[in-house]
Amino acid sequence: MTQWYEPITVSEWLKRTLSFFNLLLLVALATLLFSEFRFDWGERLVGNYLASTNALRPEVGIVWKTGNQASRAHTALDSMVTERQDTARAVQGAATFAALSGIVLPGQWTSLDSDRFKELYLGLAPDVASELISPSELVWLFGSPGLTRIFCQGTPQGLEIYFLGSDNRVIRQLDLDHSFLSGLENQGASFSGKLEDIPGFAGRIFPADRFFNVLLALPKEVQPDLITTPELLLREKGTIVRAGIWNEAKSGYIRLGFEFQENGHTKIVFVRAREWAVWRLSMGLAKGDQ
Amino acid sequence: MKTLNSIYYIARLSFYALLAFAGVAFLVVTCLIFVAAKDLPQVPEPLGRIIDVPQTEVFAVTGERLMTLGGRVPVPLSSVSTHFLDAVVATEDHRFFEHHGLNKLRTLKALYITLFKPGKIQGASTITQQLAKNLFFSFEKTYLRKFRELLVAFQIEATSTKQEILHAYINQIHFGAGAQGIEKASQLFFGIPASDLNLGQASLLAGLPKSPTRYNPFRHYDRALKRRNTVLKRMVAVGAIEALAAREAMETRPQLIARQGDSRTGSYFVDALINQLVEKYGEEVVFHGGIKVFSTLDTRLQAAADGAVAKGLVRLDEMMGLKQGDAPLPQGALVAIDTGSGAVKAMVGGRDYFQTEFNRAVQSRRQPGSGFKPFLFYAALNDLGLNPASVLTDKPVTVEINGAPDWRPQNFERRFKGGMVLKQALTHSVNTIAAQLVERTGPAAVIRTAQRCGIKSPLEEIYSIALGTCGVTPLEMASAFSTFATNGVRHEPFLIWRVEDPFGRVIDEHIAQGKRVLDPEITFQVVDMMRSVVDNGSGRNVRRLGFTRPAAGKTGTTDSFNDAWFTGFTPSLSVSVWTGFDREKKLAVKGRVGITGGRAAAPIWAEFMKEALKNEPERDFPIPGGIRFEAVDPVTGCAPEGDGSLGTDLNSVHQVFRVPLKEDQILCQGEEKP
Repeated sequence: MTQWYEPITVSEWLKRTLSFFNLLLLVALATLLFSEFRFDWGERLVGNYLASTNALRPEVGIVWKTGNQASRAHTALDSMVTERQDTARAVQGAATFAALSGIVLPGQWTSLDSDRFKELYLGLAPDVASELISPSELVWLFGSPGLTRIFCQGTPQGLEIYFLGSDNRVIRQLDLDHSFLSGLENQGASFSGKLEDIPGFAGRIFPADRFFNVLLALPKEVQPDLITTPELLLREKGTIVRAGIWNEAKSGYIRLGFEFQENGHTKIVFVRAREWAVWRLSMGLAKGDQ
Repeated sequence: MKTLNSIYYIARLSFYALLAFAGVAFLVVTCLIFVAAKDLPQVPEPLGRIIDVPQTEVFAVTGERLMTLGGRVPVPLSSVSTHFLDAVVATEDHRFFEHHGLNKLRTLKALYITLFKPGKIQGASTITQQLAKNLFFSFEKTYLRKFRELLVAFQIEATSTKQEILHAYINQIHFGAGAQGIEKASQLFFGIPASDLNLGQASLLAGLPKSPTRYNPFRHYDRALKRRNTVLKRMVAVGAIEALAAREAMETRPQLIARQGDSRTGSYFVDALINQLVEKYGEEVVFHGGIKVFSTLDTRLQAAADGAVAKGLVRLDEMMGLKQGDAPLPQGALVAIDTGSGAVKAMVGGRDYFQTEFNRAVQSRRQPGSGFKPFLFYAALNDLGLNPASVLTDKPVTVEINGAPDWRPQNFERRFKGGMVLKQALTHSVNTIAAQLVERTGPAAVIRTAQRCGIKSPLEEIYSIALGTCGVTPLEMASAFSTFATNGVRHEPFLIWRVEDPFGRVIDEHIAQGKRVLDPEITFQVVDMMRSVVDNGSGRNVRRLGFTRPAAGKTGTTDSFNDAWFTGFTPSLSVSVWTGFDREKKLAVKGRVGITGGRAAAPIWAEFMKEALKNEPERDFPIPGGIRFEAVDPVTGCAPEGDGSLGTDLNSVHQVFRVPLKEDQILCQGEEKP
């Protein structure tokens, strides 16, 4: 029996080869191939399919990595700038230098409007203001054409304020360390308790009458430098029973503590005194001891 | 008939097998597409977004843009020379405007060559495929990567126009030498915008992406030209240009802009600055943040420094009998600092950045030799109550050291001159007197002074510290001597004035803050001694070379002549120069006599200073209140006999000195009277 795949004659062979089915298949394939070469429908099909799934696919690859790095960099930069701007805004609202130091934390910095600085400075008691910078020097600084701006920077020690000239060169630097700042806060503040409770006064506590007798015996020009802010003491209602001299001088000033008694309650009011005046007072008090 | 049957049988079988294979292949490819599509990278939309990354820019204090980092600034097709567009299309993918991501005929040809011609490989990537690869894939060569790249290319073709694709391609393609994108390449190689490229330049650039390193025109210019000619021939072949135009272009030799070399910064200063930035902000912010960095570099001073170091090293080569091409050649470094702020105005870290990026100005710790003596003399004046007119004796000295051999320092000239005032001792760099001083102050005092002035390298507490046996960098020396120039006010050296984000908001700025670290009067006395070094002593080469402004400094040469220094300053600029070999090797005239800092480094210093200060008014060192000047006999330390007029004979042992004294200091109160 002749197999279907074994044509016995040439005509049979041709007939089978050029059968309708074969020709159709051939034409279909040729059309497919030609149209693909001609119209790129395969690429388009795949391309469009991939475009439809684009949003579902991951953001991977060099370009995305670079993009993400850029995005992270911008986020980091934005946070730096935002922090600076927040600090700058908060600084304009600070009512005291102590508040300023609470805003400009260590490592932070900002520019300080010169009017703002003047307000803060004028808000200080005259003796404290002089301790920070003498008014005449400040007048000269603000009057000099070299001053371009004021810059403050938080440090672990407190706050540094720079008066800058051209090229950010420091013309004058003010260091407001923590002890100075706390002094500002304590100025006129009272402490419930007795002088003995404060170690800084140890060994330098005197009865009020003795303290004032020696003080009043000092030349008239010395006395204002010992009680530089009498209003702080005058507004208290009790009686002064004792006075103490702090064991440390700071920027030419020494703190004095006055122990007030009122209705069985004792409290201490702190004021600043010029170091050289306190030295003369101490000499007088020491003579009394002998 | 049987044969016919067999043929028919085979043909039929082959046909159906092929059909089956095609069917299976189609199915496999379809499955592969579905599988691969899942983790294909997402293509950004629009495509142009991917190349819009701002670049970090570094500016000189004089306003010039020194360099850009990272980022890309895309240019529209309309701003690119048509010569380049034609060249790149003709070379990379001449059917770019016809296909849909795949050049099938070229791919089949490449496949045939790859399969049937072992050892030969032909690329068939279209511009779109190259774009897909550059944007999303690593350069790992695998069939799967190739397939995924092809799929992305199809998607890009389906969603973008040919113009968008070409725009993305020319703006992200690598041309080598750190140039990514046509605009940067055009600027880097020719210093012109991409729109101005002529045919010769455009075709040269279009030839580079095939192998940016191999065809780097800075390094292989002739090879790049050969490739350029191939590009031109391709352009003729595809009808982009006439043969005549190609021939004319082939005859040109496009002029590259000088001193770019490659992708590196080309500047020791910028390298040091980038290191600082990365340390402070991290790589992402520096390379991808698009920040603007305003540096302290003064381009005029930098050019003067480059010139002075290059000229000085050539002179040193000649002195040593070395020729270009000999190896190793001595190296040099220079750092110039503005004394009033600490700003680093110029920095040279070596002979040629493109030969070695090692920055000797900040990374190399070398022994400063006698260059360290000013710190010792300050410590001696401060701690021992001496003054510049105090007399000590130049004599053999033996310093006993517990648990170690005695220290017996020798003078450079190997002879002893007897009694002399301290000013004379520093002027002529007398080692035995330095040894006597350090024995009395202790090495800790010298270290303390050096550190106060700004030396940060570790310093060993040994007596020989007085003779500079601990390594320091030229940056430290320039900075430390700057403290002397300001009568004891130290400014921290810095490279960056201000950093801004891409929108111009300040994120950091330098406050030039001085800190008093030395007594001004004693510092002035030391400065006066150092002026004498320049005027009459080991640094007088500076005067011989015509630098006449008020200046102070100190030479330094190590015992073995491995290091030769000169660090000096005027009231406004402090500059340290080091010369020597990277490895231990003596600087010597044709292998014999050693070369000192006064001969090797001082001329570079003088050359630089003459140029750097040429437009500045002359200034003298400010004299602190409480300083008075007295004439003194350099041997007795007393007022000179006779009229006390200052001697002019530089070689005279009995030249009369003028010394600055503090209010409480008097003459003839010498330590040792001869």
